[in-house]
Amino acid sequence: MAKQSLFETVLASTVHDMKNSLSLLMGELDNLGQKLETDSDNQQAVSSIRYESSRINQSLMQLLTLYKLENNQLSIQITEVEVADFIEDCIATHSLLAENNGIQLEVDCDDSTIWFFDQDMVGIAINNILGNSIRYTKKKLLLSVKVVDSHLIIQIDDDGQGYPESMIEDPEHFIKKVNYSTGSTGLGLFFSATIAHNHQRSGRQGSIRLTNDGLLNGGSFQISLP
Amino acid sequence: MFNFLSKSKILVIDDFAGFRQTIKTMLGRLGAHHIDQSSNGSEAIKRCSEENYNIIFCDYNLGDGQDGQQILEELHQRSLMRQGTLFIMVTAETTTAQVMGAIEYRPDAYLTKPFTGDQLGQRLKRLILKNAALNNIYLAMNAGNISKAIAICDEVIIATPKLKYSCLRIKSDLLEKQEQNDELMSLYNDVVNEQPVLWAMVGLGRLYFNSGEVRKALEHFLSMRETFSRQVSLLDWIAKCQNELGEAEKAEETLKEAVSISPKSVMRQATLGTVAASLNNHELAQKSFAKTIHEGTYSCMLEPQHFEQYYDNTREVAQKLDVRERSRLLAETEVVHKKMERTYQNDPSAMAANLSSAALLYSAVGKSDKSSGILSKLTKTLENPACELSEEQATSIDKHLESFTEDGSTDKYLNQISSRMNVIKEEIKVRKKEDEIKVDQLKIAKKTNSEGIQLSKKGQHQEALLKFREAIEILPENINYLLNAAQIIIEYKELNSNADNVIEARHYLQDLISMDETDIRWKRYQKLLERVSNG
Repeated sequence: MAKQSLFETVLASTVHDMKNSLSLLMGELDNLGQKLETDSDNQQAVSSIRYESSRINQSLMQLLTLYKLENNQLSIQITEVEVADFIEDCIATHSLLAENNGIQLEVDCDDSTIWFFDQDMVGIAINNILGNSIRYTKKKLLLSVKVVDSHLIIQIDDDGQGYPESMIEDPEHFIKKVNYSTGSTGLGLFFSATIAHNHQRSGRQGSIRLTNDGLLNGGSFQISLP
Repeated sequence: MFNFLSKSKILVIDDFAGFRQTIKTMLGRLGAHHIDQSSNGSEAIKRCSEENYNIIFCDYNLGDGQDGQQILEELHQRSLMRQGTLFIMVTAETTTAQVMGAIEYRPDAYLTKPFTGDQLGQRLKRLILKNAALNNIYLAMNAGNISKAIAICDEVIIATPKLKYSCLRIKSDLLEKQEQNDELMSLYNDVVNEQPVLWAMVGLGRLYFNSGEVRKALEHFLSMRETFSRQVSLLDWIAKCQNELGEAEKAEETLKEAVSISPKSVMRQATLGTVAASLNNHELAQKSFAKTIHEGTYSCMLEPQHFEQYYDNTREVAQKLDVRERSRLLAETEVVHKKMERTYQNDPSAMAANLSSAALLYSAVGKSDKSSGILSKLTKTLENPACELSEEQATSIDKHLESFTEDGSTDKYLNQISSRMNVIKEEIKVRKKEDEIKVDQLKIAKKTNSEGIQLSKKGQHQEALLKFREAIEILPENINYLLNAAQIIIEYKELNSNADNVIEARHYLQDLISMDETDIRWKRYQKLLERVSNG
C-alpha cells in the first residue's frame, strides 16, 4: 500500500474542515429561515445562500470522490438498496430549495423495488443533477424510477428549455469543452457517468443519457444501473 | 412538518458544542423534548447506563478518546442498548461507512454531514417506521426467544417485501447464534446468487471457516479482494485463515495492509502483534502492542494479556538497542506501565501476570531497582485474597520467574513469590478437579438417560424409570430427562397404576411449565399434559 502523500492528507483534512463549517452554516441557515417566515425578500436570500452552500458541498463530495476513485482509495460498494427510501432521501435534500423557488417536485417510484448499487455515490450523482435541474426548470421536476431490461433507470425530467445540443451529443465528455461563460462545467455529468460506468453486473455496464424529449417536454436525464 | 419525536428519548454525542446545538434545534423542530448531550464516549456510556434511549446520534470522529465505533461496540458488549434502539452514526465522509463495512456491530444508519432538518426528519421518520415493522423480531430477541424471532423474520418478509434484506440479515445473525449451519448456508447462497453483497459473502466465508474448511474459506475471501478492495474486515478474515493454515508470514503482510487502511482497531493491532511475535519479528510486535494499548485506552476490547505481550516484546527489542535508543523506549514503557497499574488496580489477577512480565523486562535491561520494586508489589498482589489466578496466568508468571538471572537484589522476592506460587498452583489444581467432577457428572447423566431409553425399548419400563430418575437427580432442569420420565410413567400401565408414580409424573411436567411454545418438544409436552389431566 502506497504511503499517503502530503497532498492527500491536506486534501482530506481541508474537505473535512470545510464540511464541518458547511454543516454549521446550513444549520444556522435553517434556524434563520424559520425565524424569517413572513419576510419574503430575506427568505429569498436565505434560500439562495442555502442553495449555494449545498452546491459547494456537492462539488466537494464530487472532488474528493473522483480523486479517491482515481487513486484506488475508493471503490464502488454495491449493497442492497430500498429504492423508494433512497429516492425519498434525494428529494428531502432538495425539498426546501424547490419550495423556495416555487418548483413542484414529483416522484414516481414503486415502493417495493430493491436494487443493488452504491447508494452513496449514486446519491451524490443524483443530488447534483437535481440541484442543477431545479435551477433550470420552470415549474416542475419529475423524478421517476423504473426497471427496464434488467436495468434500474432513474430519470429526472424538467419543463425547462432542455439541454444544449453539444451536451446531448456527448454528455460524458462535455467537461472537456467547458464553457465558463454559461456557468455549466459538466462536472456533474462527468461524475454521474463515471459512477454509472463503475457499476457492472454480469457483463452489463451502467450509463447515462440526456434527451430533450422528456416526460415534461423539457430536458431529461437518465442514469441506468445494471 | 413532523411531530413524531415527542415521546423519544434522544442522546446526541459530539465533541463539538456547536454541532450538538444544531442537531438539538433540528430535533426540537421534529417535536423532541427529551434530548441529552454528551461530548465524549465515557460520558455517553454513563448516560446510557442510566437511561434507555430510543435514538442515539453519535459523531464518528470525537477527537481524543473513543470514536463512534468504539462507543457502539462498548454499548453492545455491556448490553447497554436494547434491540430496537436506533444508533445513528454521523460522519463527515461517506467513505467511513465503507471502511467499516461488514463489522460485527453496525449502526442502524450513517448520516453524512452536512444535512438539513428536512433530511434528518425524513431519515428518522423512515427508520422509526422500519423499526416498528421489525419490532416483533426485537421483542422476541430481547426475551431471548431466538426460534420465535426467526419465525417472525419470515413473516415480515412476506408482509413487507421491501424489508426482505433487512430481515434476512437479522435472520442470518440469529441462525448463526443457533448454529443452524445448513439453513444459514442456503440463506447466504440465495442472497449471493441474487447479488454478491458484502455481508452475505463474508458470512459464507465465515461459515466455511467455522465448519473447518479453512482452505476453502481462504480461497473464497481471496476471490472477493478485487470487488471489495478497501474492505478491512475482508483482510482480517484472510489473515485469520492464513494464520490458521500456518502461513504466518502471509498473515503478517495481510494485517499490515489492514492496519494501514484502518489503524484504530484494538483487536486488529493485537492480532498483528501476536502474529509478528510468532515470527520473532519483535520490533513490529512491540510497535503493534504499543498501538493496541494506545488505541485501547478507551476501549472495552483491551485485554490484560496485551500489556504482558507488550512487556515481553519490549524486552526482546530493548536488549538489542544502544543506550540512547533504549532509554527512549523505556520512557515509553514507563507511560504504559503507569496505565497498566491504573487499569488493573481492582483486578489483582490481571495485575499479577502483568507485573511479572514487567519485572522481567526491567531486570533484563539492568534496572534491578525498578525490577525489585515491581516484584515487591507482585508479592503483595499475590497475597491479596481477591487474587484468583487462572491456569494461564499462573503459567505465565512461572515462565517469567524462571527467566530471571541471578541477582542479589531480586532474589529474595523471587524466593518469596515462588513459594507463594506453589500454594496458588495447588489451589488451581483443586479448583480444576472440582470443575472436572462437574463435567463428569454431566457425562454420567447423559449416559444414564440413554441407558434408560435402551431399557425402555426392551420393555423394561420399571428399570428405565429408575435410570431417568437418576439422570434427573444430577440435572433436575433437563427438559429431555423430565419428559422421558413423565412419558414412561404415563404410557405404561405397570407404572401408572401406582398413584405415587402419577403424582411424580405430574411434578415433572410442572417443572416444565416455562417451556417455550416454539420449542420442538412443546407438542410432546402438551400431549403428556393432556393425558395426565384426562387421567
